[in-house]
Amino acid sequence: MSDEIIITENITKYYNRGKPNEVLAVNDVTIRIRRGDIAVLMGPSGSGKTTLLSLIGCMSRPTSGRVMVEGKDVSRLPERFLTTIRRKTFGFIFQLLHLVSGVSVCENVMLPLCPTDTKPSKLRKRAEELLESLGMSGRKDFPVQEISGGEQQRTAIARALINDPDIIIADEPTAHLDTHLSGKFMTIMRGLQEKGKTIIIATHDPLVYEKDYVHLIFEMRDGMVKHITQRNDSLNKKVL
Amino acid sequence: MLNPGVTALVVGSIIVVILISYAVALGIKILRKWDINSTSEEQLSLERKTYLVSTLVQYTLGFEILSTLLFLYTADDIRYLLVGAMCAVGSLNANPYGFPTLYAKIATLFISGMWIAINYLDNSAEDFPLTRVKYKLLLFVVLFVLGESVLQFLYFLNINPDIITSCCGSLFSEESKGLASSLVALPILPNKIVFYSLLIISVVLGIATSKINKKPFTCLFSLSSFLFFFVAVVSIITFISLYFYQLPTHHCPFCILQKEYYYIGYPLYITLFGGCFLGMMVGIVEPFKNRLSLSTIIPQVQRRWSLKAVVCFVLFGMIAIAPMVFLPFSLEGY
Amino acid sequence: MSLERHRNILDYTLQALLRRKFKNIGIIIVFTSMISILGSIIFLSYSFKREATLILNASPELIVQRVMAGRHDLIQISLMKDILEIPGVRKVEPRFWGYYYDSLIKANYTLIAADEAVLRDNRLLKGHLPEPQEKNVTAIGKGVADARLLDLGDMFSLQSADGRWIEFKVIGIFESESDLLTSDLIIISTRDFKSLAKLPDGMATDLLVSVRNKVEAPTIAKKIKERFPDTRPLLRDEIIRTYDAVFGWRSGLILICFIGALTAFIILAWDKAMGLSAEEKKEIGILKAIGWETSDVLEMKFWEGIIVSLTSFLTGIILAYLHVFFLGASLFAPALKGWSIIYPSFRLAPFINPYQIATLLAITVVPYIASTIIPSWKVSITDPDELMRG
Repeated sequence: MSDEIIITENITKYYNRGKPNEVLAVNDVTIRIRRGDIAVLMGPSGSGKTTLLSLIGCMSRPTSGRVMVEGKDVSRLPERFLTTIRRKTFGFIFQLLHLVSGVSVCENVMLPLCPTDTKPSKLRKRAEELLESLGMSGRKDFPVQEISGGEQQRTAIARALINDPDIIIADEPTAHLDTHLSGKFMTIMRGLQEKGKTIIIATHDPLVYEKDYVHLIFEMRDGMVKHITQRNDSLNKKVL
Repeated sequence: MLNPGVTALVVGSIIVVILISYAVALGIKILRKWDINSTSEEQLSLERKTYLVSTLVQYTLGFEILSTLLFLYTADDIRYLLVGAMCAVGSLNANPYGFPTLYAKIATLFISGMWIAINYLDNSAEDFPLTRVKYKLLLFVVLFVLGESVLQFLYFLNINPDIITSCCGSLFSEESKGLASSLVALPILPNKIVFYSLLIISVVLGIATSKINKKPFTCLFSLSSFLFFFVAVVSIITFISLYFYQLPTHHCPFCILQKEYYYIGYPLYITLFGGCFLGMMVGIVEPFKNRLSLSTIIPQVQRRWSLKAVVCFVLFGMIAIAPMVFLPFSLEGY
Repeated sequence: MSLERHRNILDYTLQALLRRKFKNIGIIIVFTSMISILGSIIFLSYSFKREATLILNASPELIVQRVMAGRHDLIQISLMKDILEIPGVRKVEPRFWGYYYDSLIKANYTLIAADEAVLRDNRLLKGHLPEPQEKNVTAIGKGVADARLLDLGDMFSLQSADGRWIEFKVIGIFESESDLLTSDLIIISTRDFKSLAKLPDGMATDLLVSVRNKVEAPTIAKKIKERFPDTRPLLRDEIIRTYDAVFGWRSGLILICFIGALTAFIILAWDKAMGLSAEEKKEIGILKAIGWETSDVLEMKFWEGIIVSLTSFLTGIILAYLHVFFLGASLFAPALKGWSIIYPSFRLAPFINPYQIATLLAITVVPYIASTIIPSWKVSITDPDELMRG
């Protein structure tokens, strides 16, 4: 059994298929990511990175092709099952963070597991532990709109970790951060990877993809993967 | 018939008929274009519509429960308008639509519940294996809902205060003619034997089904639950109610829902309906076991349902027997 | 058991509602007002019905009146003997009563001679009722006492049929504010009544007939009508049914008028539910993106509807209760009561049963929840992907 945690086979994604505003966002993409890798999707905006992330992350279904997550084909699953897998396997960090305004830091972190059978006290305890590991215990009861940008990002990271996911997906995480905070972010990611988590980041920030502990870089353009760089065994593989 | 209760029932029925008809319209569309293997946006949209349909049917069930109770209460309330009516039975007897409306409401309760149970199973599997079954069943649901609404409307429309109706005392007495009096005239001892035997059989079969999930058991349990429903209702009329009223002549199955009897009718009927419904469903879903995606899910569900049904039956038995044990009234000599 | 899940979602919904309390306050206020009005109508009509039924239940099964050219006329007391001979009749009593118009305050009182029947049916009374042979004393209802500012021991003048003013000493006042039928009563002795009204000898206003077995009452009524064709026997049960029908009809009519207003409200509720604010849309998008399923969001919207409607419902029925049973339903009691008699401060005995609550629920909460189903669904199917793409 391969330890490839994510496999996509010739996946294609159209938006508004058959309508005048039809868009081909991802075009025949095949990638493989192993467990414990830090993989980066690199490319300018409009290259299809975000769409590919949402396909991998079980947020949407491909128009054609297969997506395998931990060996299971998720491409044709109904929404209910897709959500279950997403909840179990993935943690998301969005570009704009998307924290719920008016809700406290701790409660924001607890939100993903709210509609589950987890006891609220257990959930809160776990959220507080995560926030402490990220240095946020002092701010846990603050409304999320009253904390700094960096603190908001750490809240978003904590939220992505509340369900102890195997895979963490981050979309342009450093776009609104300064160099210092970008560095801190990558340090946290590296720490998580060392604990066995798989990290997939979409970015065009060299501060991210130039780190030597990034294992895979997928260069994307016009919805296709143009180049794959594999770092750890020093193989420079050219595609297309 | 501008009684507030009647207004509420009629308005509520109209709303439910509109909602369930809309659900059926969606259902037909879903049935026609459903293709689980497609990833088109249309299929996605259909999958989303299934949520709406199930919400609408759940709402219908909720309202049917409320409306059945409200219907009985309203029938009781309008008894003053009808000469001879002393409780709901008399009101229902005022024209030929009364009792059929009640039966239709009860049937609608069961069929909506059945739909929700099947929907639950359908959603538990990854490939929506029961979609076609489900939406065909929906057509029956809407027929029942329409039927009971029409009957209810006709009932209220035809309430004529000048007609003398019979109260439960005379309806359920041995002298009068009709089904109710034949029930009352049944000899009590054989009735008791049948009731207790079937109760015990159902409980035993339910426990067996939860342990041995094989076809003979599931089907037998389902059948015994179905039979027990009718036996229990008959028994309530013939002897169980007598112990609650402590009167050898008061056979009414509705008066126990009243305040005077501490609303004991509610737990009695809730456990009976719940137990019989779950028991019947165990057998009804048996044919779906052969679908691959349901082959592991259905046995688990059957196990859970049979255990819950057993609990309901046991509670029902305890409530029914309690007055016989704890109250001084005895039927010996009557 | 997945109760934790439901509890968590409910918790979140409550918090979300509190965060957006001003948005929902409009709906809650309107809904509460509607429910309190509808509740008032239902409580009031049932209270009247119950009051009337309670009183009537105590009265005899038959009232025999004489009819002349279609109008109610005095009846010969000598008929009592003949009626007693009918099998099944237990007792026959004459009754003397009428109306008295008080030109001073332009009100109608009900004037009754004190006799056994009245004595039987006496309610909370300060003082006592006049004995049948007592002279120039009276017991009056609370409404009369308040209107004419009378207390025990005061003198009260009534004008007789031949124009003389006769003085009566008030020896009793009905205390119960909740007594629908005693509020406007003036009770005097039979002697005084006959002289005040100049009643011819041997005549009474009507006859009260008690029967041994109430099931026989319609048969006996028929026999009386056959034997004395110019009489009109009234069955107590018929009267109860008439009250019932009239109250039911009146309240039903008002209810129908309100259905129009309610429909408008439901449309408003739908409209609001459909048009979600950008902030709400975003919040749901986030929830879907971080792992909430469509059914979770649907449940959240369901709880929202329940919380809003039940809050309005409970507040509404409390207001309705206060309005009817503490403020005398000042808003529309006249429409329901239908008499033009003085009822300055009138209090009904509080009476609520689960049936009324269930009816109110079915007319208000049920349509409201129904109107939120489709808008809730539309919102719940938000594509999480949309949020990713911004």
